[in-house]
Amino acid sequence: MHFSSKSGRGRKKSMNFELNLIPFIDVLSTCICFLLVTAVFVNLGAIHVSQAVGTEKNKEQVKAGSVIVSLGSGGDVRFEAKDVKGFAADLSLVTIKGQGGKINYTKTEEWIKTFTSRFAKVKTVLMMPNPTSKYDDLIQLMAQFKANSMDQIGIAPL
Amino acid sequence: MLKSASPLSQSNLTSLLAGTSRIRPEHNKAKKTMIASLMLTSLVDAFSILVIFLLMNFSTSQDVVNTDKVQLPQASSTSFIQQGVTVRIQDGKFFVEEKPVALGSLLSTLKKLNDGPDAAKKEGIIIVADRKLDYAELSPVILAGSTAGFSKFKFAVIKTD
Repeated sequence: MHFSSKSGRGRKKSMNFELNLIPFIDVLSTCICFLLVTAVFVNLGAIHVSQAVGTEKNKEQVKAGSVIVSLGSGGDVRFEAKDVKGFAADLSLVTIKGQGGKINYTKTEEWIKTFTSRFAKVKTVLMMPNPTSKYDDLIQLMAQFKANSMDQIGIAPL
Repeated sequence: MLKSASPLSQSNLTSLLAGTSRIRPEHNKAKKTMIASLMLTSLVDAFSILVIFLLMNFSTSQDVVNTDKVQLPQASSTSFIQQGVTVRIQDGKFFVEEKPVALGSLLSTLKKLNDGPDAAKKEGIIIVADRKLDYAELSPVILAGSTAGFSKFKFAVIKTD
């Protein structure tokens, strides 16, 4: 008995075919051109804050305490730890002097890092700028807090 | 069929170097033919990777905020900029959704937007301001926004690594 490898109805079609890649390349090139032309190379982000005065705080926030940051003239920054248990009373009010009229970011970063390493539960920050405080200074300070996982930032209007 | 129809498969190129080689001169020998075939598959691979990379980095945040006229501050720890009511402060003037608004009517304009059918209240206010701006110029927006019922404020910044 003989079994033919071929199918009953004629020969099998060859599976060895070539895909025409030229139109595919055309489509991809068009895509690349479009994306390159419309690409935005400036990455925008946002620092989320809430209005600090008059907003309700939840119980956990009240329990853990908060840090009040007052921006003075000449780049002075005053940190005040409020209702933070275990924080020494003499250390609860720290003023970092400005350097040449600008905020000493190295010192502020140091203070924030030291504080967050000891009181990781404290997440609330209240920013209290003065009328001459620069917007950029505010952003830099808020970014420092955010980087140290103190992300519930409020800002007080004048 | 396609293989034979391809113009590349029929192109015979002769190597110029082979004929002029000093070590093994091939003047007397019959010229070798080289069939040049372009590897289109790798080209398609490269293009695909490029398209995927560009699509991944395709940012739509610029559509939300017009930052052509202001120099935004830079910050590293930022969140993704989302939709919201855009308030731009430029040269002491206020622009709500790119429309100039006087300081006196800032509150009413924001209130209108908050009471509208859009979910503006949920999204908050996106503040676009110059980095050198004094807080005295910025404060009225926060005050008007919170009075209008907005609880979230997003300061637009340029992300740094």
